[in-house]
Amino acid sequence: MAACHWERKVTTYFDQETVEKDAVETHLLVCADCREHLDILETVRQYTTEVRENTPKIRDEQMPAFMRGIEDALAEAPVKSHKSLWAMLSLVTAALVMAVATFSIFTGPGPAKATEIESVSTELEGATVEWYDMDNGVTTVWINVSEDDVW
Amino acid sequence: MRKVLLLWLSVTLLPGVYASVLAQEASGDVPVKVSVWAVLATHEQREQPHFDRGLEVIRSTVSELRYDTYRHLNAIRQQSMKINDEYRLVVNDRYTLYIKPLACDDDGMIRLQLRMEMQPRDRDKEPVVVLQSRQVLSPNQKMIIGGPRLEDGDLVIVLEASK
Repeated sequence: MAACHWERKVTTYFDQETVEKDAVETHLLVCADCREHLDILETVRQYTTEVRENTPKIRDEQMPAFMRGIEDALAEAPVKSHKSLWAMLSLVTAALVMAVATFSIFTGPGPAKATEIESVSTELEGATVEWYDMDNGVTTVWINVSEDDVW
Repeated sequence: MRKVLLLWLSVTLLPGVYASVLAQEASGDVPVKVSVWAVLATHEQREQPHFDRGLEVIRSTVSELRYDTYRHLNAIRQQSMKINDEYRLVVNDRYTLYIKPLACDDDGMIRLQLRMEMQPRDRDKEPVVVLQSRQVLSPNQKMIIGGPRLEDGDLVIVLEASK
């Protein structure tokens, strides 16, 4: 259903801000929609007035007691619970794990060194042993055996 | 209550366990893992190098050698070896390799003693030490020992060690 184009004027009339009071009242006599709109506005106002009246108010002489109640509540000692104990234990465990991990990182092996040959020898008659790093970086120990290997 | 007890046990035992592990590492008693590939390396005029199954892992290591064929003789992979214990790898009926880890340094380097013995063709003779060496291996870096004659090629040993 389309609203009557007088609806805004009715609302203004309800707020007692209209200058067309007579015209609106004349229209209300002939327009059921606008009458219904006015009823709704009055109902809403009635409810909001009731809510406001039922809201407790703090009088000036009650204000110090009201504030004292808030301050007392804030000053109350926190309730002891095992949650703090668990939190502390978790914190200690986490700190320990962090310490161990940090220690492991900073005491771990350094950069890898190259393979080193400390000593070589052979008992093969006529054979020699040499060692070197090849172009691909692989350390190689090579036993040079004579061609006329009789072993 | 049980949870609290378990948590406290873990909190108090963890440093102890960790300290004992560190102490064991510091004393060099931690076993090392050693891998060895013993191969017969030959030159057979191939266009592409040939590696027996399981030897692909040493392809880049031996890429600078002059051979084009690598045949599997024996191998050990990641064998745990205790410090100062000697382990034996029979390469074939002529060569035997003895490996003795000496220490695992703080920086991860592994000190090894190797001895390769060859059984002379005359079986009545005592084995001859073809190579006695002592080296400090960089962890997870392969090294090569080669040269001894074998059949129509040479014996090549690739060695790797890690913690």
